Amino acid sequence: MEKQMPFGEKLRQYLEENILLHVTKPARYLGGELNAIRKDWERVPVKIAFAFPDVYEVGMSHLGLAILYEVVNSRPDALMERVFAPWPDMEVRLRAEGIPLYSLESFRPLNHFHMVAFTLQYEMNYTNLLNMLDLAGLPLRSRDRKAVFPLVAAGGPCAFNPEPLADFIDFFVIGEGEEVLPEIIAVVKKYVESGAEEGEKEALLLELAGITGVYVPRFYRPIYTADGDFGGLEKLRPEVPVVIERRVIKDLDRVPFPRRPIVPYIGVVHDRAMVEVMRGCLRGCRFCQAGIIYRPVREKDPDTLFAQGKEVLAATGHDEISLVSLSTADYTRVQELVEKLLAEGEKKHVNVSLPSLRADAFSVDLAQKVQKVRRSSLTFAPEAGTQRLRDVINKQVREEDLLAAVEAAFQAGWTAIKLYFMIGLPTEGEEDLDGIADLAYKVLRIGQEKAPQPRRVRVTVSTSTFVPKPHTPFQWEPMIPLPEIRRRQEYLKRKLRHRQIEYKWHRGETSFLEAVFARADRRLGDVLETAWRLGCRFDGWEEHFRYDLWQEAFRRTGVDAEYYACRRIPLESPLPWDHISPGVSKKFLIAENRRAWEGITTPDCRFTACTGCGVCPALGVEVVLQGEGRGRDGALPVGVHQEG
Amino acid sequence: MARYRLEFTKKGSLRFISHLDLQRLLERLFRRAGLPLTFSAGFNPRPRLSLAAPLPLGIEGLRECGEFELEENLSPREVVGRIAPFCPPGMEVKGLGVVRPEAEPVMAAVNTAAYVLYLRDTGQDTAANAAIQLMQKEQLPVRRKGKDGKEKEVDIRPGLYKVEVKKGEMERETELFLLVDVGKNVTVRPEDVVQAGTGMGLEAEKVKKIVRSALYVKENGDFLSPLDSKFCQEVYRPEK
Ligand code: SF4
Repeated sequence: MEKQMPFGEKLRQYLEENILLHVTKPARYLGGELNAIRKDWERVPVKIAFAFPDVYEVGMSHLGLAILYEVVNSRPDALMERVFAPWPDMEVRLRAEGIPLYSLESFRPLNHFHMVAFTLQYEMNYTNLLNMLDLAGLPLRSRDRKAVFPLVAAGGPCAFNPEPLADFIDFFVIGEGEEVLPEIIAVVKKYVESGAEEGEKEALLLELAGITGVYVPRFYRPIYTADGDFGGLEKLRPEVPVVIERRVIKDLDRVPFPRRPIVPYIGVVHDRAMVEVMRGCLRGCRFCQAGIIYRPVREKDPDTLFAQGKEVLAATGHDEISLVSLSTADYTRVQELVEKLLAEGEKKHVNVSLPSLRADAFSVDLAQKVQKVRRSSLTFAPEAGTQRLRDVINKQVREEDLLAAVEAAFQAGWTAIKLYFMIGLPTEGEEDLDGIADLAYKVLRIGQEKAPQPRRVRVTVSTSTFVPKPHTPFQWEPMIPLPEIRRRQEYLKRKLRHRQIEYKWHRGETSFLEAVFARADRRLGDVLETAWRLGCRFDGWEEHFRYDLWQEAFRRTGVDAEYYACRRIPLESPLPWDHISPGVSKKFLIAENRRAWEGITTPDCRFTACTGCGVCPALGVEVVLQGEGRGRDGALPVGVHQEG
Repeated sequence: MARYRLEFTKKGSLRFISHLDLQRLLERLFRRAGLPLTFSAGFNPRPRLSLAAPLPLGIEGLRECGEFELEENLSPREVVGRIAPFCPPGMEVKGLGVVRPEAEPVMAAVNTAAYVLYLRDTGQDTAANAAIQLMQKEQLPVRRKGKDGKEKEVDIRPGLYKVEVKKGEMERETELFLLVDVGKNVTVRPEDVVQAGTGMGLEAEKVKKIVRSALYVKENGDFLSPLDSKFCQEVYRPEK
């Protein structure tokens, strides 16, 4: 007979007395943090567990979690609790004692909830997701979970190609969650209140599939050609949509924002207050998925942001506030907002931080404002070593601007500069690798000439490998094979041998797997499960990554990993993620791909006319700027869109 | 500006957070309470708040001690009133006093700790016997992992001041009281004493729970509370 594990207060006590002293960072598993919300279980109809498939410190630094926690817990009819991937030492203890994975608020196992909602931030978290389902005692495959509840849902950027997880997840949520989650809750609530029974799951999922932005994979079947290529997706029910359109918030000032976010007891990756200044980025880098799936730019009102920032600081006691977005220096009112926050924070010793900088003097000036002490280094991301290649990828950084920024930084007292590049970009040749090295030496030379202490100057060059991501103009492009990754890294290593230059690179195997799962179809589900059964966990963590086990998983399932990562997909081929629409048209992506090969750049539509990506007319949204730009100076009317 | 010394509990879930995390928790607590701490001068200003004698992870503290400086001069009663509502579960203010100007910083002053070890399946006689033997030894060498990961031997006898035994509340349970040095010289941890007492009747597996019951300033053979009138004035101890 199975031992009945206690839950709630009893479980917490048991953990404290018997388990937590034997694991690293026990506070990961304790909950009870400042501002955590524990609702009366019996009085709330709909119960959702937000599941983050990485360790606590990573998950608790994620703004999306805080936002959805607020969205759900501010409603009287629903509650949201948290659960993270237990570190392997804790997993061993949980399994040994037969303790199911539990939520940090009520200490309840996940099968007490109506919904377990995963966020997919990174492909290398997928084995953790399976592991969490298993630790919760839930069957991995959607089909094998006969009980209506808990429904297993997933959202986040990786849901834009849901297929590798399609067999495990009951439904995916595509796009921004603030508005769609309440619609989902309404449907779930109906079934909860009518006491849904086994067998009604199908009906419930069908109803969810009727919500814009919800994808229920069991109602679709992939077709493969005789050659084994993906040949399209077949609808199995007439009621479900052919294309699942992404959800997007029109006015960010009008959705709930976490003013009282949870403050972890232990240090996490980002220990600071956060306000989201805008969503979306329209610079149009052709490798970047975020630049497509969060379009268009929607800036928040600086007054709202200032007020929210003050509230968050008061409710948390943090000594730093971060202005979060994909490219905060692009926020049209950034200067004014930073100055106001700095003035407010001055007497209280509160700092302001900007997570992302552009490679220009304006950004250095901003960085100088917020960082009175130049302890950390300044990071720029030219992404490619030559102007030619930067034009191909549409990264509109000119070398003069970068060097001017670097000079300003050295003069302002920074001694360490970090430069981020990608290797393996489409069309990359030896001269582009040389370009990376040249740029690094130019930066070093400027430092040696302009920095107050030239001998202390450090230049760090970091390279990651280009991974073709779904819904980008480069989604059809091949990733360079592993031996080629190593060759190019070795080449740079030789070129960058200097005592003031450090070269860092990302492990090629990780990027390779990332590419496999980024462009996967449903057949990768078996590989994933096999890898997990072989023991793969925390694949994004160097100390846990087991490439040998992954190779074994591919061997056992007979799946050719290179086929997914390293082939050029013909532009006219159906793609496994064609049924998911970010609002940006495929026509635009194809046009962008062609322009890339011709070396033609495409401007940022915030300051020029609409370039026809299609997102605004398709989703009924507009670019929202708070300062000079489209529609503000009268030159460029908002609402006039080029044909997509 | 005024310097205060605080006595507080670190119980329940709080016993699982580290010294550094506790320090940061307190800094945030003062911010939320709207009581500005003063900051050190220099390139990298730090709030003037420090905690005495780090408490090992997993051990509850009944009278932990810290010191801080506020920009305002407020009565200890008022300071307690302002911070108490912001204390997390497990943290309770036991006492607060204004530090006399000539008093040493708390980190340097506090050098002694009292621990209670709750032993299961251990008779009072066995424990009492172990206590006597421990105190009779001239040397008590124990093995410890150093910062470099290597094991080394340390003699804890000079830092072991007292070992006493009391009957526990539960059947076959005994409480072992320790008074040990936690100063700069020989910091003695409770598990060191258990290690030294292995073979005299003490066993690590039988330690059910450890609590640090108090911190002291050892001066000329006396063990004084950090809030003793010698160091602090206007000491306020909340009821309850
Ligand atoms: S539709 Fe036009 S205006 Fe809207 S984001 Fe795309 S390019 Fe810009």
